[in-house]
Amino acid sequence: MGYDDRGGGKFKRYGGDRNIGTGLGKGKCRFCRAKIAYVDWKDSHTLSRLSTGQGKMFSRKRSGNCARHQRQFNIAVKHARFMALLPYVAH
Amino acid sequence: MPIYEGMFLLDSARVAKDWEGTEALVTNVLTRYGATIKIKDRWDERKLAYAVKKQRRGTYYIAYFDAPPASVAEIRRDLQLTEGVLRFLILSWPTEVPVPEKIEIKRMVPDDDLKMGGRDDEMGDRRRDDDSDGGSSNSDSGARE
Repeated sequence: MGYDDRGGGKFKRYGGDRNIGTGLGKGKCRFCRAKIAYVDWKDSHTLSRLSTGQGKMFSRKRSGNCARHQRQFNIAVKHARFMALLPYVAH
Repeated sequence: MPIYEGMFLLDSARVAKDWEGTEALVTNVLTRYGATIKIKDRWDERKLAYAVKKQRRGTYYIAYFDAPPASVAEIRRDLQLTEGVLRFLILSWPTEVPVPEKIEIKRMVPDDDLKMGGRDDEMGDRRRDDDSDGGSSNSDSGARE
């Protein structure tokens, strides 16, 4: 009871983009919402938006990705880096 | 035969001079080892995230092809020796996903769903540093008391 009353405190530690209370795909990751079966490593725009300015990947907590998509995202970024679509380290 | 997805980073100077010839560098290697190309196209000419073989720009070429698994190693070995191909990546395409009919890179997630909110911008790093500093000074003062 008290737990839920603390202004979203229960969900706060999950952070990311859970969109609590907006009714937009509550509790689903953005790839699940877009019904993506395979995270495409060639879409460097999406991958870079899920990375910091330095090019480090967002953690699951920050990106809000589910386990499955975060795993795929992780591999996708590594493929994209190899093909010079994304930097290993950005300045 | 399994389907493979190949991306080839081609030398842009060479592409500008002779596109057919540069494309043939890749397609000849693939067909020589028994691959049947399902779909192929030039994707993009763009600035690279970092220099590859001293080139700052490159042309991306994508092909989906069927090939006997044993021949993929041969294809890789041959492409390593091909001048004009700066870099390549050949991956097996997941069987449960249909092969695209056209070479185009779709945005997986709509742009307005990619907003990470203010605290997930680069400010985040600074804030985390501040937090850890604050935490340590608090614990210090606690120890003194």
